[in-house]
Amino acid sequence: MINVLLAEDDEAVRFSLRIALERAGFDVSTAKDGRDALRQIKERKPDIVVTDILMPNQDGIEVLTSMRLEDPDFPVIAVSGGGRVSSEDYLNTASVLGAVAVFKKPFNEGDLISAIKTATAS
Amino acid sequence: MPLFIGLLYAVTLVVLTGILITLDAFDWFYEASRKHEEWELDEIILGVFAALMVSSVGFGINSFFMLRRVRRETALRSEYQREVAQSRHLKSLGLLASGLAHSANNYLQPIGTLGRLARDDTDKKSPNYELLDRIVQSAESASDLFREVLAYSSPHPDTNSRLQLTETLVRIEPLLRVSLSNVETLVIQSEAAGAIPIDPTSFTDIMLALVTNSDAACNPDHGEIHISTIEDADTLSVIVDDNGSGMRADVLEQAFNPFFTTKKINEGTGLGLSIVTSLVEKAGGAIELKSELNKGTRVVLRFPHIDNTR
Repeated sequence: MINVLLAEDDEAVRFSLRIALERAGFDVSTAKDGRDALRQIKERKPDIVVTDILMPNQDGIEVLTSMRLEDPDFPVIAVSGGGRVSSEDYLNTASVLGAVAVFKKPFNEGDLISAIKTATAS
Repeated sequence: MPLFIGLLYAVTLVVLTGILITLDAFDWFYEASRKHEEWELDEIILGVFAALMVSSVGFGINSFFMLRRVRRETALRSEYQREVAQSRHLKSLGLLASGLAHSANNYLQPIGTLGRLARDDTDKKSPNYELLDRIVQSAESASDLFREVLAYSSPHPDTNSRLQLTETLVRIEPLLRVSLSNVETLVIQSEAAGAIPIDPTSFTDIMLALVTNSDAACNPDHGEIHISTIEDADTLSVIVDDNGSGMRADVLEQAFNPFFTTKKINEGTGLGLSIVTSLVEKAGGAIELKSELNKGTRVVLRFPHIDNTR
């Protein structure tokens, strides 16, 4: 079973995505912020990380950067709902930093599920 | 104001005379005239009097023109300050909108996701299936709307852009629709397949300004706005038609002037069409305005047609 770590600070979003991913047959663990995500990545060694961009205590960009430093091939998917500047800016940064896919909230969970499948297939 | 200047003037004269009396100016002049026997006293008095007259008339004329100028500058300045305040207000509205859209997106994600999961898990024959489907549809419409608001308030228009005209018109339709207050019928017809060299934010600004203008000119009973496109090898035109009040020839002539407006104070700044013009021209396009009183107005935007194969 594919292990997915879902890092998202918004409780309702975290809940809904977890349910969607679990129903799609993934083993899902969740993190409330970037620091929590990085700790869990070390402990649980997930196959893929889905991270929100704007989060307290180290945001998604920081998660992405430290992941790339440790393992350049580790698949990370970034999601964002926009905010301080605009979500496109952050998602562009995430792409440049090597996110395998980026999603702008609200997105269809079906697209996220296919992206996870594609990224973990190799 | 002129009364005040006149009064000031009279007071100055009295005070000046008072000073001359206290200083025993006449004695002083007399002494001086004794020393200079060749001067005639009446000539001296006349000279002083003439000098006083000339300077006071000069003072009066100067004050008159200065006053006129000050008045003009003050009016311009307050107009400018109003515009600056307005643009600050718009900017903060943009920030507010993007913050709001961010929060809304976080709410919409679970509504959409959980709605779809529950719907897809429900038997299609169940009465709840349609209810869940409605929830999902509403969430998706709201997502489209907020996506537009977010794109609209994004502070970074990209340069070197190309915009797929028909696709964009369809995409911004919900945003245009919510900006209407008088018009109920908004028809967008476009089969143009080409692109134009403008960024989405500027194009949305243009369309919003034109549609709001049309909306304001329309009667709530039968107001209609039609947006259509014409495509040929060199040009892609966007045409915005309304059946509103139209404009008299003299108003039409001034319509492109910044700050010109027929709206009441606080209803509009008059910057709309001048901003539209500058955005259209920046994209290499041109704008044309036709209007007939009580029949309606037609705005034609002509943009350079970008070849799809480029």
